[in-house]
Amino acid sequence: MLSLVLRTAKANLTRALLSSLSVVLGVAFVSGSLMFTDGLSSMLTAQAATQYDNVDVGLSMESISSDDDGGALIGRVRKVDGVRAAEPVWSMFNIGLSFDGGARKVLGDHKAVNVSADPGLQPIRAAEGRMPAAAGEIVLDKRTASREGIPIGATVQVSNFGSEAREYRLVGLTSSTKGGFDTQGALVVMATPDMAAMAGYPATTIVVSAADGVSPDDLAARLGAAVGIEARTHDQLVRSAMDSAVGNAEEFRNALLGFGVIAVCMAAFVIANTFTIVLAQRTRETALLRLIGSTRRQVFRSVLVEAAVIGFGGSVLGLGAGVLLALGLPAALASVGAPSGVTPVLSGGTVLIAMAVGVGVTMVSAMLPARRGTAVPPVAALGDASVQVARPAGRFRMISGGLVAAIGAGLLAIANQVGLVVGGALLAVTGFLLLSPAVVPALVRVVSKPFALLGGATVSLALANAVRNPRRIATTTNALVVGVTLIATVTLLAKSTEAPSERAADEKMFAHFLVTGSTDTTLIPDELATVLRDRPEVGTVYPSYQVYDDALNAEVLTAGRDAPAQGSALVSAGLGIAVGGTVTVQGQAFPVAGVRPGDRTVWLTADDIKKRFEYAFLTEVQVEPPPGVAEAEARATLDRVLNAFPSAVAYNKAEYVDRLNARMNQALAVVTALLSLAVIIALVGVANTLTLSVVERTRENAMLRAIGLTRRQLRLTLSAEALVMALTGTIIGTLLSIGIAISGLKSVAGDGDGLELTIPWDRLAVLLAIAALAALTASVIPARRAVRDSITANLAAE
Amino acid sequence: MPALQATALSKVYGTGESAVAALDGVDVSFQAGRFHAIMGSSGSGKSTLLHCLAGLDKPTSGAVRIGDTDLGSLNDEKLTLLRRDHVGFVFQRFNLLPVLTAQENILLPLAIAGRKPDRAWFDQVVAAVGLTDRLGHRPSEMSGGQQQRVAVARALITRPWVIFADEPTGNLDSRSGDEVLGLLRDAVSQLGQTVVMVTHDMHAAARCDRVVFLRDGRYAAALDSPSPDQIVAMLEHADRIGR
Repeated sequence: MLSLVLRTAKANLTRALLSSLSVVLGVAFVSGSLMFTDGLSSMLTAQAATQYDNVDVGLSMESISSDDDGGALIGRVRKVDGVRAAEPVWSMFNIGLSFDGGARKVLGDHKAVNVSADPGLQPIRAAEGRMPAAAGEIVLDKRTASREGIPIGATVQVSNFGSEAREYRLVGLTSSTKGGFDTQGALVVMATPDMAAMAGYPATTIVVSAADGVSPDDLAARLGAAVGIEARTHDQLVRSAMDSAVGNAEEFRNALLGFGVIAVCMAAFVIANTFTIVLAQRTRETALLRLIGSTRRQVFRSVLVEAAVIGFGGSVLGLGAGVLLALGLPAALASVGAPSGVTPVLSGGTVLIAMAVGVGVTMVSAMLPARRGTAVPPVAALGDASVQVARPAGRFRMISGGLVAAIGAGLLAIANQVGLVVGGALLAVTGFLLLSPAVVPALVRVVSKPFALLGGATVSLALANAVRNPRRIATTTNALVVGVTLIATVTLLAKSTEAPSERAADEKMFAHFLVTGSTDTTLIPDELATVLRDRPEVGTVYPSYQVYDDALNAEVLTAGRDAPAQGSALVSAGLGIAVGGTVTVQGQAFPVAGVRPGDRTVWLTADDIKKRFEYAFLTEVQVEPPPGVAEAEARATLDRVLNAFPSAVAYNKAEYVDRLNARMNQALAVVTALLSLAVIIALVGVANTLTLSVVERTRENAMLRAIGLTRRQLRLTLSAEALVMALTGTIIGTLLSIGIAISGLKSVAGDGDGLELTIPWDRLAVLLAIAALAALTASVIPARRAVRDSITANLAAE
Repeated sequence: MPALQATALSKVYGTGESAVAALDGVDVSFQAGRFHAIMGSSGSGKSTLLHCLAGLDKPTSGAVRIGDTDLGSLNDEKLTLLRRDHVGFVFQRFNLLPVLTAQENILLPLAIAGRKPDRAWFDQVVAAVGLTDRLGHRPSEMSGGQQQRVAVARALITRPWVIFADEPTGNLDSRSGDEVLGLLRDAVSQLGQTVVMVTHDMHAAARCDRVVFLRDGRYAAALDSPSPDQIVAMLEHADRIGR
């Protein structure tokens, strides 16, 4: 029986290849993700390890007690017997970095560290130039320096949010990076005195190098006893750093595998459909086997073995394609923060998983078609099985489909939390899939009307062909529907949440310019507001502060637009104070001038916040240039002042909207790219169905050619058929996604901050165009096959 | 002038030692307005001859003329258009598109050409084949005989120069077969059509004006308006001289 299976598979090589193509793609994605994340994991762990090079013992404390000036502690550590050298180290974020006299700012979440002047205690090495040896010298990571074009010897400015910017000379570049996922941020390496001055507080970590002949374990024990702080050896430090690095890589892997699962599910759709069609075409063959005495079980098993063979072949190819994918992934993922330079790692586990997924999915998907397709009475071998009556969809399927779809739609309509939206979406899509044999052909007829009017008889014929087997066209488009629904939902949600960024910018910006940190999380120095106020040529300055009032258990913010008068406050509804009441902030009673929606927030004027709070974070500053000053001139004046603040960047409204959208667009592009694999697999399914239809209609097509259909017209009919399938699938998917997106937006709308559905027509049009183009491409090979053989040979075909 | 003419027609399948000559220098012509049959035993080349005459297959050498058109001078596109506009076909089975109704199947050659049907002619043809009340049915709702009558109507609808029929009665019971032969006969006698039919059924051949016999890919003989007995005798004779 096995040799028969292998021969059958060989004889049907094209079909086998086509069905395996979907397996190849699915396996490629899964194995590629695994190879990439294994590589990522090993890179991150290596990074984690090198950060403790030359460090034998590390001391770290939760905080420095205020009576310790830091200097005393390091002195005590250095005196411990067996310590060759010790250095306090800081890791600082909220770093501003600029060059060219402050005119060019490096955007990103930078990190500053310091190194000892002692090369024996430097975990970082210079790849070019040298390490900082004295105050006023710094080293940058090579990637940032080359991206921004900062040469060795250049003067750069570095600041943190609490201190003024200082100038440093770039003396070297290191190939170490900031580490982790963020590729944008720079690594700034400074000498210890500079860091101590910039930080303004003692280091919480001390790294120690052991004297010759002293083991790290010994030294850690001695240090722990001498200074009473937990000391960890090099190995312990590396292990814990590696653990967290592996955790990071695993999170990343799981996200990627999520997309992999989607791709594999698409492949399952396609495989199941292919087997259904193949077995339908083999009815006579199957019946013949039954006639000469094969049991149904034998025939069923032979189909499963065939599936296993196809799955295995697909897995092997998929693994190969996965290697290519893993090499390409870093570039694609760089924009969502994956580090570049990851070398894929192919582990035995990945090979096993790829094989298991490929063979398993193919066999499971083939199971149901195999059960149906082998239920052929032996007598069918004797009849004329060439005309198959399409089995209508069962009543049970229709009823349950309708019910499931209705429940799903209901859930979507009432959903007020994300879980309900997801559940509703799953039910609605499942319901649709059950109903599809009835719904899809009906929609195809609608979609194809305009084509039929345009294209004449040839196209009408294609459309009649398309719907002749409702189940088949339904299954073919279903894969596409699911893929498009995913992409369109992501696009709609992203674009709908993005649209408010323009509104958000409008609401926030009442002045012409907004000055914020160089990243969303970078804080800006408090004195920026003061400096700007001292420069009347800049214009009117509106600082915004943020502080938390522990006594009130509420956030205190500067009210921007519609600010209350000096000495009065706006409160959020959650505080339960009505207009006319008072709210007491830091001992001062503020009359409440208005109530805004929200939980626990008090809005005061900037001056009142500065007066009442000793320290409040400056989050942003708005600047309105003096009347009559042109935009360019006002901007130049403002930038000249900001040159002294490397971490502060000025935006006008359009620039600010761009900044708000940039991150979203990048993430959207990556998610779309990952999901498009699912759509590609679905289109492979379209090609698959068409090829099998061509095979099935060999004689019909030959007859058409005989009575005068030209080759071009025959190709056209197949293209039209593919096009209609693709468009129908895309339209259904888009409609479903609109429903899901509306529900999703409604569910997160929560506190009156309603998000409206924005339909990005341009993107949807592109999606439709791509689907159409891909469908046309998908029809090329089947069409070639249809016109290849001679008419007379095809007329005689079985 | 003959409606259809083959000159020194040869068709070789395969190359080298495995080459088989299905047709070996056949010279034959078919007069317009007559009902022709081509007969011969299995493997005599009768189907290959029909395919070459109809422009479905390219001969290895020799020439075919339909009317005053030399098929050898036409590329695939032109040949297709010639078939579409001037040639009708009736095949043994699987003659119709299952997705189309009888009417749509009949009008298919015109639809492919993007031409409007001549209403009066359509009605006449449909009435002739007796399908007036079946036009909305699909092939799966019709008997084999009815399906073949639709095929005959489809062949007639373009008023072709010649209709080719390849074993048109091969899949039908004898009554339905008779009906279909009658339709082809009427097409010749009443509408002046030219019909060339490949058959192995001597009763079918006996209704023709002329029967051409092939043997081993060569022209063997021809009989005008033969009786079944004459045909049997000729086939036996052809067999005998073949041994």
